[in-house]
Amino acid sequence: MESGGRGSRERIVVSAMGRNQTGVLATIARILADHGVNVEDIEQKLVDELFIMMIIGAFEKRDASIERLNEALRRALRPMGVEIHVQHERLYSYMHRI
Amino acid sequence: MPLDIREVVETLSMVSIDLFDIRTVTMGISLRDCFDSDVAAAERKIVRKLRSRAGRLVETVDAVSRQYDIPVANKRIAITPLSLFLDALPAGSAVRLARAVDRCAVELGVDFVGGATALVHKAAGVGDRRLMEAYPEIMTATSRLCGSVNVGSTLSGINMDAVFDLGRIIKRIADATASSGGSGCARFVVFCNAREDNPFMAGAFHGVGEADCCISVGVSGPGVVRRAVELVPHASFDELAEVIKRIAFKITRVGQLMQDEVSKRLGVPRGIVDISLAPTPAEGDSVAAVLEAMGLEVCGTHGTTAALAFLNEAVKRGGLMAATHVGGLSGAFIPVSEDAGMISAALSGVLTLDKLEAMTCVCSVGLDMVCVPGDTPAETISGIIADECAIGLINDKTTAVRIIPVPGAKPGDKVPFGGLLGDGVVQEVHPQSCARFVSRGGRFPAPVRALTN
Repeated sequence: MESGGRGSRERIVVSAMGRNQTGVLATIARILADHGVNVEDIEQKLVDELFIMMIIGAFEKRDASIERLNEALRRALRPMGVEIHVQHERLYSYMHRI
Repeated sequence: MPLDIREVVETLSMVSIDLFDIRTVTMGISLRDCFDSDVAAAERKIVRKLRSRAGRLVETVDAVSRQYDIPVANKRIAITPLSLFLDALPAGSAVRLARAVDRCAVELGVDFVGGATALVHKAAGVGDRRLMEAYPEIMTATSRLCGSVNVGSTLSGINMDAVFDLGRIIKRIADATASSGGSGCARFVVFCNAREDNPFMAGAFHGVGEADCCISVGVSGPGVVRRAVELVPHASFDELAEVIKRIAFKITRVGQLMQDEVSKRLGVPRGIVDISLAPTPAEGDSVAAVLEAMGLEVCGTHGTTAALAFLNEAVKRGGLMAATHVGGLSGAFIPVSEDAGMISAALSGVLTLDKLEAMTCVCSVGLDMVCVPGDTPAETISGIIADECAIGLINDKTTAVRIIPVPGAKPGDKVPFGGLLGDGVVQEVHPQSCARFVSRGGRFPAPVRALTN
């Protein structure tokens, strides 16, 4: 049920919701790169003016931290009116897979 | 199977919009190795044990909460019933031990500790009586310690002497904490069929058959269930049961994940996941609102008991599959002051004490966070406890009474308790006396387990 086998890289789900505007994806991508996150999958949807995005990524660095990444993303995106969350992928496998 | 963006949106809306959280991560700690006939030694051992087991509890739960971005409302500890210490200790030791545990709770950063508990379902022993007599002083001297008394069980009957005494004790606790609306009673509950692994307050304690230390989780999520029900306004009961079952599964899985992670990081075995729907005073995070979304104009009107029974069953079906070990109380809670919908239903006069009592026949616990006028006779409170115990006794379920006779208050008054305890609404009690009935004394025999009509 857990993502990957023993010793595999920690996978995370980054999700963002907010008003569609220029630069949101660029900002997120830059911060992910700074924190050593390799993007494995990305999906984006526009519902009227609201954009919803999900990125599945994996930490490349051993000392990486979800908390620090979450903080950095929130600091950068809250002023743009974008709600962002970083969660360990295990949450989703627990909740949505039997 | 790859992740679908709709699952991500659903999960985020649960937390951001529907106020989903884990109500509590509760560490159960056995104090059986701390018994001593010298009170100073017992106190020393208790403090040492609590520090050694729960020293990293709060930081660990917080770290797991951040990793999954799922809020955990409370971190709590449940301990071996304190009454067991008092058999071998002089009277007066109860308050000292209670203070020590309460200081530890503050030091460790936990919100509540449960376990100022006496188990007297057949009869009260020396230690039980010492603890019960000390409750008014204990509730004044502490702020995070919770007390509970088990006065009945389906296998042993109801200890009516204790029921009678507790009417008076509850009044004394209310008077001792009158400056805060009798709030000491919010940390005190009387049970029939108490559960030894319940992670919820005020009734948590760590039963003598439990492990040295374990991690249990109490989920929450009425807001999430309400949203799911609102999305299918015309669904048949068959469809509605499916909808609630599915959402209860997801909610419970998050609880299971929290338990797995916290117990792994602390190296402590898993206890149970309690699949109760626990409301908060926040708008919408309300069990009453779920019942109203199912089609009741106001919670408390005709159909409410059926709606609650339906909800409770559907939640259990989803939750049972989602958790490895389900335990505790596991059902929908109906604490009046902690639920915005219950508060307004009580204020409007639709939700009466009598209807609440009927609802407790099918919900997870009993009359919970119910406020009555401060001049309610002690015997009437004993009568209310006896009624709840009878429901638990006959139906082989846990029932409880957490009642606050608010000093100086009249029916319709609002009493702010703050935080998760919310705003109490003072409700009317019947003025006719039951004193001659409850003061008979003795034991109410255990029920017949056949001929169940």
